[in-house]
Amino acid sequence: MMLLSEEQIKLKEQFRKFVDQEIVPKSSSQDRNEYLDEDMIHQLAKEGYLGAMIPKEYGGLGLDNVTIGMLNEEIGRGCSSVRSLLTVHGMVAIGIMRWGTAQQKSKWLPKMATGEVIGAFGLSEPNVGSDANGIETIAENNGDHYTLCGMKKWITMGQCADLYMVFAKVDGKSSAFLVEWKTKGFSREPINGLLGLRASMTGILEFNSCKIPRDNLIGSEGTGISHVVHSCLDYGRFTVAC
Amino acid sequence: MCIKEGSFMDYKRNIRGFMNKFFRKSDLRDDDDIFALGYVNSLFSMQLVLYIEKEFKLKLDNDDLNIAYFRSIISIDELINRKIIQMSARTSK
Repeated sequence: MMLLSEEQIKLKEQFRKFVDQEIVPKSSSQDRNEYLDEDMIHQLAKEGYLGAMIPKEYGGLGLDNVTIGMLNEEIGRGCSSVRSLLTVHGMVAIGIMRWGTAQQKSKWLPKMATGEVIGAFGLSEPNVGSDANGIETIAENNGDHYTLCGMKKWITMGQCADLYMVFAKVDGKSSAFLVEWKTKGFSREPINGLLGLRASMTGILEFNSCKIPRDNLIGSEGTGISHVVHSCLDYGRFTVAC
Repeated sequence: MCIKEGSFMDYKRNIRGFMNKFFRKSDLRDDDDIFALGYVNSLFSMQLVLYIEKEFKLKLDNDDLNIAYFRSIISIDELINRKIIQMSARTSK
């Protein structure tokens, strides 16, 4: 039997209090309106919860997995859409932490820890669902940049994120890219009328010849599915299961 | 396992032992391309990374994420030795 430490018990109480005060009262209206309250995102950021999985050296809380589990369990109790924000934001952060360059880590992780940048995960597509190997989005290697073309669907926080981890094939090899919302040729639209997780800002992403700097490649060409995606999905599965 | 820091060692037997849990191919040669043979599923690559990190107390990072480094028992052995030498050089500075 595993016993929680005093610190973990203290944090669990803190999570519970936050959820009861900040999330539960807004949960029903968020679900009806299919919209995640921006004040709530600010509150999550203020508490440091958006950086729960990010090491302290990058400004995160650097929580252990058990405590991250408790955080997601509590937040999911209040509103699973808010929990889904923590999940996909964390998946992107985990991908950068695990396989990003030192430059990518120092550029993005501090901003993700404070909530200045919200992350979303772009894997599933209209024709292939979440069959990672079957993705049709392509990225053409043009030397100092890639040209990204394709569509992603069912993307949690797809309507509002600032930074997307997008999976595309380069000459048939799956690869992971960081794509900023401000990128020219990148558009997004909401998916409404869902039965559940209605405030998770689910969206469709479209990439119309987006120019992605070479420095935004995570890992190397061909390791997007074999390495990067699995690191992220492990975190995703774990936090959803909480 | 005991690793003598800074020395070039042969870890192919260890790697083969790990591979055999997945492939059940007793005649796997040291230079066989495990990707070309089609034995690798989508989960195996990360399991291999985790095995290397845990077994040899290494941290693989962005620079090591090259499929060629994981292609055969020989290339994995070379990767492990290269990382051990790098780690040893860093700690001796």
